[in-house]
Amino acid sequence: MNKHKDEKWLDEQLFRAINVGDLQFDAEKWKEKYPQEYEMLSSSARRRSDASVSRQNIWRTIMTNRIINIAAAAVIIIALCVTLIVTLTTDNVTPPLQNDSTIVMTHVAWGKVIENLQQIETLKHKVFITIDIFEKNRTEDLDFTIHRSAEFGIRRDAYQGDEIISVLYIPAQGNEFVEVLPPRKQYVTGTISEAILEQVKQVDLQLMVTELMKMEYIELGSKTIDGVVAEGIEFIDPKFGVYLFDNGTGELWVDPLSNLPVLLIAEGDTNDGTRHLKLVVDQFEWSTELTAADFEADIPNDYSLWMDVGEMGAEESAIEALQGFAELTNGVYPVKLSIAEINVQLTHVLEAKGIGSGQGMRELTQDEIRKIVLIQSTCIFYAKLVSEENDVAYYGDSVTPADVNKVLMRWQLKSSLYRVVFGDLHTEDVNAKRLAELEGR
Amino acid sequence: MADYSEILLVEAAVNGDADSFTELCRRYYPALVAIGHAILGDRHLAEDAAQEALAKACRKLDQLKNNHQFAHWLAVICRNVARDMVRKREKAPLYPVEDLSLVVARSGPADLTDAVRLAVDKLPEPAKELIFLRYYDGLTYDKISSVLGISKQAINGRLRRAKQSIAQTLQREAAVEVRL
Repeated sequence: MNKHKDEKWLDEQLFRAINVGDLQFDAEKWKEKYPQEYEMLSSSARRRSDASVSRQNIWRTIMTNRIINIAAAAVIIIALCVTLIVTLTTDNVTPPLQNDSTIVMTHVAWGKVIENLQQIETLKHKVFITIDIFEKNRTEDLDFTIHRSAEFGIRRDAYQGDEIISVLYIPAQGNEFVEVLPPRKQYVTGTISEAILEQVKQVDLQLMVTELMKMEYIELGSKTIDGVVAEGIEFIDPKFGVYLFDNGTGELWVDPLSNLPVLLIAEGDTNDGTRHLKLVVDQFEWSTELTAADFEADIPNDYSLWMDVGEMGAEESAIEALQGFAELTNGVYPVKLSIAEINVQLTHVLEAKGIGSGQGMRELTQDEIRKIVLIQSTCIFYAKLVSEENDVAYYGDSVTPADVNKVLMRWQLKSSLYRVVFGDLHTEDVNAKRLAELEGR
Repeated sequence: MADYSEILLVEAAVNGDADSFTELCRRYYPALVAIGHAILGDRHLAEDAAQEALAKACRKLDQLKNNHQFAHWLAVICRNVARDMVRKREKAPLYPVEDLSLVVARSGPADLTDAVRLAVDKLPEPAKELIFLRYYDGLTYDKISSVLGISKQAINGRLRRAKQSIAQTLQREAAVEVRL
């Protein structure tokens, strides 16, 4: 007997030892066995108050109600989220899969998946985002089509039904982006910092899958997806989706015949459990025909510039973003640097300040919108520091602008040197010993 | 956490919609049987416990305080039903085989599986329940999270500790070294 077994072996043995196969609930037999209970249920007079649950479309929200501007700002960032959801949130603790033999009871050649993705120059796919807001009994849906070309860049179309209501262009060359908003007859411009540019422009999915393979995962076996018997793995790494939500998990499903992805799912909750965010990436069209014209920003003559949001994802703008957030919230920093957490925090503060579309309420100003965009992009900057294992820490839950000598955020510049952002947002580069003193260690 | 469609189902079931309740039964029956089996050590008894738990849930549906925690509430009922059943009879060993070292000494694949089963049986009840939830019917972390009312990260940590315990048992009693 081989005396040295690993976790895969144990998983397989546990599966063999315990799995009972298909376990189905037989409703008819249950009804026969418990007729009184079933009858009680059917004829129940129990009625709770009608907590009607409305499914609103986020695009109606954007154009009509009090969160109009927050949502519009989110539109700009979400394009980046889709691209970065996994590429910026992995660590290197778990070794990558070496070959298909490390996956128990699946037949996908994972090494081949990465190799195949390296060959992909053009790609079109869909992204569906669902946000459950439990405290308001509301669900918001987003529907995107993403075009990626190594030669021309990225275009992201956002839809309401069949109508395109937002088109974002990120060219392959340069770091400027344009988002066109047809319902407003306006457009937004901005730049993406060098710090996150490469991730944003990642055209193929090679990096995404490679990074996923570094994560802690479990096997899901196979299931049929759109007629394809795909094989999947589930990611449970704490770093997964760290800048979007807490408790992030994800699934990757691959067609074993083509060794290319057919479905990617990422989801998680906010820390307080009031919101749940789910992304579904699918309908991949590999090596589809895309031309330069598909990526040229089409801004009609009668459209006007709504705002320029400036540079996103840079260290300098991160500090400006933290300052802006504190201004919006009367002296409070984000509790966590995740987009979902920030949106929850902002919603509460803005409601309390009477910002909205209700009677007597006002909408956000452009300056306020810009501050929100910047703080969202700072989440991406933070996630990049995390992914690069820069010994990053953030203490927004306990540090305020008045805490001149307390560390708000820090990360490692090189082996013994740290950049520290203090509560009043001044920065210093300190050695590890000094950092330990500052953090009271 | 319960997904949106499930919350709608629970809402409808509480308001007397039998089809919605049946759909919830279908979703959680495997988890309930897994919980029952971890406690009772017998699949058929576990199915009885799961069905009885669903009947009790049906009777107590108006006592459900938080629709988001339906699965967790259902699991608690099932656990109590299974424990009641244990109290009414001597608990059977999970798998009635002889000493673990004797099993492994035969060194066949089927015997090794028995050894793993015995190692699982030695786990404390919560850890055993988690192992059953995960491997009994291949439940996802998402569903286990709903059933146990804890985060996926917590599940991951507990599952890892349970597997480490199993590995230690296998090494100590069966000389099978598992490196986790």
